[in-house]
Amino acid sequence: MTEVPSTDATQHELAGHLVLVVEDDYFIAEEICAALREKGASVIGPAADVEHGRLLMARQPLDCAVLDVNLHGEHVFELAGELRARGVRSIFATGYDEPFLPTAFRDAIYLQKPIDLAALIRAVKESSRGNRARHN
Amino acid sequence: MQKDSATPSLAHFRLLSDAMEELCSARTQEEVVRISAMLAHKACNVDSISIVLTSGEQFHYAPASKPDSISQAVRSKVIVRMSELVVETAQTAVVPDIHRDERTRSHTNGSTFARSLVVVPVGGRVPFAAITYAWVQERWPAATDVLVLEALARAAGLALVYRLGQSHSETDEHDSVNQWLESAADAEGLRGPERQQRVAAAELQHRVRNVLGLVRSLVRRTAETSASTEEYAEHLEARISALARTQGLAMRRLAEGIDLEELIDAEFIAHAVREGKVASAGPVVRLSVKAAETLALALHELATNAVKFGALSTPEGRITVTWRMEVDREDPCVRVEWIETGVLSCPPQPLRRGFGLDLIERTVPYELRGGSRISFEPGGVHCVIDIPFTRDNVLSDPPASVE
Repeated sequence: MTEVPSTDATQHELAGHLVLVVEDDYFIAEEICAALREKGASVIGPAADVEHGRLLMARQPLDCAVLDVNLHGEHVFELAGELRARGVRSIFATGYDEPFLPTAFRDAIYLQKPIDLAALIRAVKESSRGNRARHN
Repeated sequence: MQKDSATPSLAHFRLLSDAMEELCSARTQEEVVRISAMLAHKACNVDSISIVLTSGEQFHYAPASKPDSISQAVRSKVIVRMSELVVETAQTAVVPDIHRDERTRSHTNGSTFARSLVVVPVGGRVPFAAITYAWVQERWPAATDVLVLEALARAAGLALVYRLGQSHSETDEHDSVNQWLESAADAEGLRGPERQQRVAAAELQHRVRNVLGLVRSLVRRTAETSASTEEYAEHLEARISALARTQGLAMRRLAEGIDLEELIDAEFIAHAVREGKVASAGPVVRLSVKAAETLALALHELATNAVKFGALSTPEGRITVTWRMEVDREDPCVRVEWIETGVLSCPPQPLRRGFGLDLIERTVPYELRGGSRISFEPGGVHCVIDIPFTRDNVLSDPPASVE
């Protein structure tokens, strides 16, 4: 892609991306989904719990996933592990500090809540790169 | 006070070493409190003890009294006030007569259960609790008594810290986040109170950041659905206040959950609803913070609508909020019903489109996996909210199923 600033390019910078969103708070989930859709991404979800997230994950090949760490007292790392087994990278949205995050996912992108939406878009692009190359 | 009375005797040491052993056998916080009260009664004829934690949690026990005098002690402002004081100064306070002592005189409030107090901070230089030993009669405790009670308090404090940590991991066994946080604290090599503090701090930080996230999305969504700046400011302020009220209730009762009735009352109080306009009734139900947050915002939208267009906008209008446990069904739930009556032209105007409706009809299914229906009946708005009876939503026990 050329570096010419174009509204089209920024508006659709996530065009064709399939992103799973798992977040238990309705408003925060809506905010994340709206931000992703605005950039042209197709949102799978949002799912409010691990179980629903798992169902959605199985349906289609994803580019990446945006996961809230604490879902009604259940942590999301198992789901993240299953996603990784399918080659899908996760972006963690969390109110916890990094030292608390499992070492297995230290290479993932963590977004501190309240989420910086511009950082979210960059993170989705970054995390999807490898997957998109494989799809194409 | 005589000098020799400040020298504890061998009997005291005996009593204290027994105390340590007994306290070690306590299996729950309540048992720590009960054993402490028995020991204090044995050692110094203490009539009741109260433990007030800096987290706001309180425990009370009176070995030889009727339950009603315990509840009187529970409500005693004097005990709470003195606990705060000794935690702040990290020094034991002796109050021979609460009616005459400067620190307590203005807080006695007619409560007569406790007349004389020894209040001991526990937790070292940064106390996490205060233990109040109370006597029904005026009393000038001997210096030895104070020393013995201080030692008992410290032993109880240690036992309590230990039990607090234990009961936490016991009650939260289903809670994988808690286990994960604890193992992270273990990995840092933390033990005892420090480990607990680390987990609690992480949990608090998580909550604060979540609430900030919620506030930010409220700011955005309210802006999208408001016609004017005035309307925006008014709605935003009210919504943030509703959220703050829930947080307030939550912080006071983190362990046992938020009382549904208190939540409903708080919403009506916030709208300065006159007495007689509203009635609420239902069994005791304690909600999780998350369920309370969702329900509080839903109630807030209903109340706001009622003030603008519904039962709270006309002299004849009334609101009845009732709730009951629906346990004899496949998916047991707490059903909350909001019924407005006396609204003549119906609907005078539709319920605010967008945010308000969105909130009630979308957040309840999404966040609580429950159901909600809003209808415009001849008398006014009728809303039914079903909160599934799951551990995530409801902390109180379900009632025994109807025979």
